[in-house]
Amino acid sequence: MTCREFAKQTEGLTLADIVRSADQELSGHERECASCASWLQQQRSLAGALQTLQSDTAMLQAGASVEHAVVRAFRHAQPSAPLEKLRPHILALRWSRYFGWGTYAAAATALAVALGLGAWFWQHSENTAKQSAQHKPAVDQPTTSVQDTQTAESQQSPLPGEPPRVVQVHQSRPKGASHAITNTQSASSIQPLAQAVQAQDYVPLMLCDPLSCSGDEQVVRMELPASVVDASRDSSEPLVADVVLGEDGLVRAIRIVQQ
Amino acid sequence: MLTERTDEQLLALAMGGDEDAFTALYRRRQGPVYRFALHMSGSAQLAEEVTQDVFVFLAQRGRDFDASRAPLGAYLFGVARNYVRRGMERSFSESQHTSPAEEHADSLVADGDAVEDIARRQASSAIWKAVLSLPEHYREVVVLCDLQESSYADAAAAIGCAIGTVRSRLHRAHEMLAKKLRNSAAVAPAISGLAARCVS
Repeated sequence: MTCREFAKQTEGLTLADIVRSADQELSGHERECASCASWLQQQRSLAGALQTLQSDTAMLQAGASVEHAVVRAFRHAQPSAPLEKLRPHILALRWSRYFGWGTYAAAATALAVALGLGAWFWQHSENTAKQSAQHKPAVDQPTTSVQDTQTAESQQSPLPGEPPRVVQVHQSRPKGASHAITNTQSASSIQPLAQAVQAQDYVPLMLCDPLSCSGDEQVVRMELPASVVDASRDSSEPLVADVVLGEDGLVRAIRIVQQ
Repeated sequence: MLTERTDEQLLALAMGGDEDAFTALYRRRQGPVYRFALHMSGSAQLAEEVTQDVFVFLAQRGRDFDASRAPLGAYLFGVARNYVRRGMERSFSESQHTSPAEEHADSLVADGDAVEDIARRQASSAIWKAVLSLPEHYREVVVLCDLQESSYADAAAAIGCAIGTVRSRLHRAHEMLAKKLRNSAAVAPAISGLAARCVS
């Protein structure tokens, strides 16, 4: 074996391999060449020195606090970690975060504020509706106010000296006209009113265009003097009719229910 | 039994939420990672920080590990190498390489005759200093191949270079180490009689 072959062969070996090596060819060349023998000895010495350092530090490891920190990080990083494996007191601690007294107080305050705001808005909207109904001027029609409660009595009279009596107030719309007479009337949805009213034997009393009829309607059943329909009849004779009232108080349509 | 499972199997279980598997993997691998960081930096504090960072990284990003590219051990050394580099850059201004052997003199194993122990400690200290004084890319191959006994392939995977590069760097690192240790009184007797390599 030449020195070049020796160098090539040892190049692929780690220090540990060189120390452990029992290759006959290497040993043979070591005996023949003092220079290579010296180099090999140097490698063995270096390996021995590094082995000393390695064995002296072989038992060193990270402290227990590192393990705790790492496991804690693992729990945070694994949202799917099974909860049932956690001890009950850890679970209790985890849930208690969401049920502290502060949370209760905050939830109660939020609820009270929401209720207060809701009541205020409801009252405010009701007042606004009443005010707007009162301020609407009557055009071509006798003023008719509609009470929202079933016991309310109407003070308006279609004929002088003969006040009509409100029999019943329907909150529901006539069948088939429910989508046409809604709270939020759009221009396009006003058109079917006449058809719906016709279908229910209602007689339209005013032209419903998008400007004048775009609002809420109510159907009021009331007793009217029969003379309203037929002048030849006795005015004391009652007549039951369903009246469609707009939110401005004007009558949109009427249907005679009972002659 | 978790102890009978491979690193890769333990990691797969851990990524499925098995805390016991993760703990077993940590206990198996934390020593080599800690010692790698310690040998590289000479600082026990930094080594602990690096160990923690490596396993926190594994807990968070363990799903990214590809067993077909390298064994988990090499992967962990690769991650540790990056953290060591970052930590040393950070702490360079605070404390430039404190004498590791003196810092860890108590932790070095000592047994047998007192005089022999002192001589051994001094030798260990001198070797460690010599290793730490190597340039980083030479130091890491010495730590991986000679102190951690990784194969060239694993070291190459950890460093992210070719096996031939590891081999040549190691060869050069050994020459540098031998040169440094020749001048050390503590190790001189062991390394004495150094000679230039004959290549004729």
